[in-house]
Amino acid sequence: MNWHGLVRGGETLLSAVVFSYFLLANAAYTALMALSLRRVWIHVRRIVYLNLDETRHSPATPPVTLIMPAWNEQQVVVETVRSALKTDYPGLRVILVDDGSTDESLPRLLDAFELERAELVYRPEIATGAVRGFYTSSEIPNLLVISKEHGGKFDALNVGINMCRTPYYCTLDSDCMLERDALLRLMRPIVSSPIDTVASGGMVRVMNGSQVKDGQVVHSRLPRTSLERFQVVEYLRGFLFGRTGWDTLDGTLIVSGAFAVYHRESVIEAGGVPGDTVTEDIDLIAQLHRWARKNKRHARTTFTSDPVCWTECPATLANLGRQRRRWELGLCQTLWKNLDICLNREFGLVGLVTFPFYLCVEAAGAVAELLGYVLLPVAFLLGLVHSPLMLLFIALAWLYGCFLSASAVMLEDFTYHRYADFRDLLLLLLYALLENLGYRQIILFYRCQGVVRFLTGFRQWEKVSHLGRSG
Amino acid sequence: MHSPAITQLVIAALLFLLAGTASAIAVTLIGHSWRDRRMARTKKLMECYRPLVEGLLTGQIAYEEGRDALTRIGEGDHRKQALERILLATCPKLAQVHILRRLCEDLGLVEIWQRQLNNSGLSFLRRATAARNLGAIRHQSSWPLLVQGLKDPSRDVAEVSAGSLAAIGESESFPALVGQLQSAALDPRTALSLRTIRSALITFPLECAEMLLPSLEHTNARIRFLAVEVIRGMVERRAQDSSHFGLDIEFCSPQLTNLFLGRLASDESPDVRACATDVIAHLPDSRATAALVELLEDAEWPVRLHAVRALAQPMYSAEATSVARRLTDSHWRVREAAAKCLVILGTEGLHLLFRQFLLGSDKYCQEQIAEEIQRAGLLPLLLAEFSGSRDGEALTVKDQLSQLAQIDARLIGYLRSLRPAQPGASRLGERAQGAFATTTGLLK
Repeated sequence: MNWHGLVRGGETLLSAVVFSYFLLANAAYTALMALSLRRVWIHVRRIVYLNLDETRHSPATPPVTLIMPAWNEQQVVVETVRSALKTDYPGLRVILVDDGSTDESLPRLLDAFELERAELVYRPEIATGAVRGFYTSSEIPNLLVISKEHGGKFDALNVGINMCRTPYYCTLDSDCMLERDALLRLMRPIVSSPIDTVASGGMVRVMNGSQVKDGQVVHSRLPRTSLERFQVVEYLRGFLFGRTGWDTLDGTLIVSGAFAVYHRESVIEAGGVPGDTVTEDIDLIAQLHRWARKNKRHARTTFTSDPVCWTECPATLANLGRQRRRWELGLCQTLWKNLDICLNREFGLVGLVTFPFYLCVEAAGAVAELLGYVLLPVAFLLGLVHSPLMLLFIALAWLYGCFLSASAVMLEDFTYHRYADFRDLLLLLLYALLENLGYRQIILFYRCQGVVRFLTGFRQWEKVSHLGRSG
Repeated sequence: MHSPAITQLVIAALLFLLAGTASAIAVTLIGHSWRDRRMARTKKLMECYRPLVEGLLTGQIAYEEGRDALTRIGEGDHRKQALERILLATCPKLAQVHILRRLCEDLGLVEIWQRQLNNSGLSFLRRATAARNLGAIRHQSSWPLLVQGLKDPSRDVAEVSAGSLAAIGESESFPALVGQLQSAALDPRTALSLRTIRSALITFPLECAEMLLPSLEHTNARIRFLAVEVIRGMVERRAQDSSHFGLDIEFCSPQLTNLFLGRLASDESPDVRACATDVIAHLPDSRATAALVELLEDAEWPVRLHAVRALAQPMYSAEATSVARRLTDSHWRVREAAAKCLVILGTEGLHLLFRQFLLGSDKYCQEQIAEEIQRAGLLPLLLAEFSGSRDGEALTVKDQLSQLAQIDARLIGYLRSLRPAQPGASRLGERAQGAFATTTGLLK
């Protein structure tokens, strides 16, 4: 075989890989979409009779502790705690763990809530870094602020878990804002499920641009910049389609740590929040699945689409890059670390379907997609593909992305319709169509950077700075 | 790679996606407008109904007049929807519920809901909504239908039915829920969630507790535990309304009392024993205190923990000495509960707490007490207690504080930073302030 033939053969093989990836990924997304459409539609109708008052007043509703790790979040931390304290939940406790902030986070907290140092006994059930001090207030007895040496988000969470005295705890990122009844909504399926739930995630929505008053989003609007608007569409697709779809199949592998409830004892028994990866939330779920299998426990991990947590998405490309690189790096690290789950029948659907999906489509997908962008022009130059077909294929990929995003917007408007303004809806649809022309490629670039970092052994957590509540 | 077949396939897929995307956009926009119009119409109808419903509930409008007016406004599905929404969204006072119920009956809504609940051909969403509506208006005579709903193949309908039965509170429906509790205990995967059933049962009046006797005597420890847990929930709910709550003979028959003080207090299952302590603490029987004190010495720490917590009521102040022994318990949660309990038990409890802090040698115990002293703002009281003590004890205080300071230097910092003007100290007056000066002098 001559050199030219070898290149052609290699190109054909790679094209087949890329084409297979395209088919596999889109078939999976279509299946998830179909499942989610039905599920969300029914769930919204169920909300009518799922009485939150019953959950609120029931003695069977377990108390929950909100644990918020924070590191150098002086712009948002006070407002986040204020919002968290307003959460409507019986017996709610709030623990903010300041992970050795070097900015004004702690002084601002002490000042805003008139906190005083308290010498509480620290009994670590999970090994953690050193705790510097505890701060309480007689005016707000359910608030505890812990200051500790900087050790990373996982370490801050573990300190919070050690100080938590309730059977369930809820993690909340310090740039997030919970809707008043979000925790009740999130706990309701846990309370009513006959199977023990070890972790349950809620919907994360983009807060940028929305009107915020007294720590609550009072009017959800679209952000001003295109970059943020694209992220709104992305979050809708990711949460309404992806998470709901996997939950319908009982194959939840990813629960966003920005807003999720966990069963404390199970997490402790599983070894606490792991710190080997930069996405400790995904790793924790994998660890919980492993713990459940080892202990022969049928433990559920779920997702519910009606409890809402508002988050501030990155408003600049630099911050977006940091966030997406970390997500991709963390995903690769977690999948690599837990590779034994892949195609392992003992893990059920998570092992047989979800894990391979995340491995092939979400993690390796970045590389496959990049290859596609490189190979198509190369194939065209080599004469392997004639230009009309290439253009058709590009159009197909673009249109499929549009179809998925437009369907996500449709589902959102038919069910939760948070964007009541007609202009916002039109804009959402427009951005759903434009998402694949530029934005997706930027995200792909960051994802590939994440993969490269994984391959080169980079482990550092990239901090995304938040500007404060916008709107 | 460029065969006509592939090109045709891609074109077909392209056209299909194009149609799909266009449809999604069109459906979204049309659906949005349609929903807006529909909501506006329903809202308008609701605005017409609102003054009438409010007038009826407050008695400002005569019932017949108001009902007839409601019947005349609107028509079709819109009318039903708006009526349901306005009637069920109102949070009537207890005295107004019967007006709402009568209104729903007279407007034909109850009949529709009952029919829907009974109709297995309907979607589970409508059956569950019907069950919820019947519960919301506490429709007493619908309880047999709701009991049937407990066996509905849809878990949602069964769950909502359980909640509605609890809202109605008809004692005759209690055994059906107890049956569900037993099924769930024996096979947790197929039945309703235990929390849902327990929550429903707890809402029933305490008088229904007698019906749990067979479950309390059941051979299965899990069923006994769940039954005790339900009674505990009922008792706690009742106790919330009164600070000096105690069960009386009306609620707690001799049979039930004897069962709790006898078999359940010494049950083979520690879960049952632990849970029973909370009920025993409220029993109208002189043997209850002795039973609780005995449970304080139980071999299992959760039982000791529950016993300590059960005794954390001012009426048990005479048992402070027994509780104080748990300050040196091997499990920190019992120590923590004992410290909290002694604070609640009043003067005697505090005295014992301070003595243990000053004179004890168990550093874990002192660590726990130190935390409680801070948490409850007891430092001025401790200082007051100390200022009245003998010299020997004063030295012990100094030693203990210094020892604690070695364990945790921050306590000294806290003591030094304490200002007499702090609320706790000022409440205690001059005596505490004097004591503070003495202690800080000693520490220097």
